[in-house]
This record gives sequence, C-alpha cells and structure tokens, in this order.
Amino acid sequence: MDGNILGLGLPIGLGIAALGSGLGLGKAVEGGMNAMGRQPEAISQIQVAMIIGCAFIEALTIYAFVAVIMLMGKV
Amino acid sequence: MRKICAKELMTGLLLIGAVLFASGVVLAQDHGGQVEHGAAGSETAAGSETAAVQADEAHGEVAHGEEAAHGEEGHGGEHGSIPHLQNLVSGWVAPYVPETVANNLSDFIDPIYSLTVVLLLALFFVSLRGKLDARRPGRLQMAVEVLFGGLYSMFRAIIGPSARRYTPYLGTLFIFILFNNLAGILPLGHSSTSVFNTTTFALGLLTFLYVQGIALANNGVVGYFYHLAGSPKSGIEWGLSPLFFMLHTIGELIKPVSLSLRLFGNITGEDALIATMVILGYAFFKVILFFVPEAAWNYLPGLPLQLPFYFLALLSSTIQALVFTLLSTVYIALWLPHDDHGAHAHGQQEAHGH
Repeated sequence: MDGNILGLGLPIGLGIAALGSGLGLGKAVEGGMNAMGRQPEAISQIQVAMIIGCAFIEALTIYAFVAVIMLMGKV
Repeated sequence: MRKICAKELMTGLLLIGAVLFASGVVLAQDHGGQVEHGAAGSETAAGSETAAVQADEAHGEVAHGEEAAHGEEGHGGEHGSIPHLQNLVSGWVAPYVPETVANNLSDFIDPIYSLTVVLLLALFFVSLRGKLDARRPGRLQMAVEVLFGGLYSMFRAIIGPSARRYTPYLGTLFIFILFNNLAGILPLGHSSTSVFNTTTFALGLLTFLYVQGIALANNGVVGYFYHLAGSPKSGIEWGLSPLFFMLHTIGELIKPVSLSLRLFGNITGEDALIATMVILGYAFFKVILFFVPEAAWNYLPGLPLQLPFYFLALLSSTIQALVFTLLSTVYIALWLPHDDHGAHAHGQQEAHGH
C-alpha cells in the first residue's frame, strides 16, 4: 500500500469536523423545533432563521471537506 | 405585476448566463495554463482537482484526457480525484471530435451545462408569458404564483417592503442554482454548481458586486464608509472605529468566498456520494455476477445503491439553493437603512451582530 499519514488524517479530521457540526446542528434544530411547537403561527420566520443558522454551522464541515478535497491529491 | 416579474427574471437569467460564460472562458484559460506549469494554487486547486492530481502524479501531458478517456459510467476516482459520473459532453461528444477540440471541450463543460439550463428556463418563461392571466388562472398560473409569491414573501420577511426591488435578482439566483444542482442528478447530467472556479465563485462575486452596489446606492459614499466603521456615535466608538473598519472590510470580502465555498462543497459532496455509490454498486454486481463474460460488462447496469441518495440530493439541492439566496438577502438587508425594513428584519440584524 502506498500513501502517507494524510490518508489516515483526512478522514479522521473530516469526521471530527462533522461531529462538532452535528452537535451544533442538533442544538440549533432542537431550538427551532421547540420554538415552532410553542408558536406554530411563526413557523415560517423561525424556519428561515433556523436554515440560515444551520447554513453557518454546516459551513464549518464544508470547509473541512474542501480542505480534504484540496489535499486529496497528496495522499 | 406577475408578468413583469417573469420578464425580469428571464432577463436576469440571461445576464447571469452571459457573465458565467465570460468568467468560464477566462478561468478556463487560467486552468489550462495551470496544468502546463504544474502549479497548484491554493484557491483554484479546490475547483481544478483533476489538474492538481494530474500534476502530482506527473502524467499530465494532456490536460483533461483522463475525463474523456473514461470508458463507461462510474470509473472516476481511480486517480485519487473526486469520483464523478460520466456526463454527456465528456463521454458522448468528446470521443467523436478532434483531439484538440476535445481537450478544450472539457474546460467548457460547466458553461455548456449552465447555459443549457438557462436556455431551457428562459424558453419556459418566455412560453409562459402569453399564457398567464390573472382573470382565468390555470394550473400553471398557480404553480408560478406559488413560486414567485413564496420567494417574495420570504425576501419581504427579511428585507421589508422594499424587497420588491431585489426579488428579480434573488429569485433568479434561487432558480438558477436550484436547476443547476438538479442537473447533476439527471443521467448524463453535470451540475455546474459543483465547480468552484467557473460557477460558484462567479455567483459569489456577482452577489458581492450587487450587494456593494446596493450599499453605495442606499448609503452614499460617506455613509458607506461610516457603516463600514461600525456607525460610530460616541467618542469611544470613534476610537474603536478603525478596528471595526478592518473587521467589516474583511467580513465583506469573506462573504463571497464563504457563500461560494459552501455551495461548491455541498454540491460536490452530494455528486461524489452518488458517484461513489454507483461505482460501489457496479463493483458489487461484478462480484455477484462473476460468471458474466468481461465483454458484456459495458452493457450491464450496476446495483442501484445510489437510489436513496437521489432523494437526499433532491433535498440538499433545494436547501443549498435556498441558503445561498437567503444569505444574499441577509447581506442586502444588512446594508439597507435601518428605518426601511420591518421588525423581523431588525431581529435578523441583531442576530448577525449589528
């Protein structure tokens, strides 16, 4: 097998990023769902704010993913 | 009003297409030069992964021969690049044209696909224009009203009543990104939004220029820099304003990059997931059906492992189009004068640190 430490590090790093992002997304969506349950008439506004927040959280994993793609040629 | 909306949307689509094509031409040349010199710039390497990989593996005498040489569906990823499926241009057109044309053709796959999508959408909206009539609403009318009304009410919730002015651009952005994302799910399709340096960065730059134009038009030049300095009022705030000025300037410059990286990463990941599953299904089937002769393999499909991920791709395509559009809307809302928009918009602004 050829390859170097990047072959091990890239998936693990992406996994760690995804772990943090998943925890954050869970928290955000939990808050959104609670708010929606409490005030069903404001669902559309809550949804918009929740999706924007989710996008920011999710972006962190995407940055890790982009870094992985950039380094993939070096494995 | 709805007729005007369709017309403006169409014009916007054509404009975006023209700009994308122009940027595609310029960046495609950059991209080709990069392969020859074997250099991998940190930013462009994200989009031109084939270039970087080929340069590293030192068999890159032909820029994109690899893509054209893929015999059948689902043979990406063997050189360590992102797995990708064969598309119509690289697989069905490139083998039958002269080699010099084929090499250049692979640089134009994204403009070709995005322009095709734009053309189809424009034709659809042009044909729709004569049929819409508020007095005799039909099924089409309802569908279009739901689309435009939904988008407009979403923008109005963030920007306020003046959202009407920005709906054509933002709606165009949504429809363009949505249909380009979905083009990747089609067989022999390719989502041009999964490439950073020809499409998503162009979209990010367009949004950046649009937002800065709105900012200058609404605040004036002095107001623009006053806003960048954090709208200082008291003495302490004036003292801190250089710091705020730098922070806000960097923030403005980061916005297009983060917008386009997010879209690029999501759509690339989604398409790579489907391609990986196609390759895996192909490999599984080859193990199960080991008695089938080698020659017959070009005519057999793989195990449809990718099927559940098509639905995931449908979902994430829509969400990513929505996210790009909503974030552009928020960036516009941040620059508008504060009394111009409603209470919801103000809540949004508070959440974003203003």
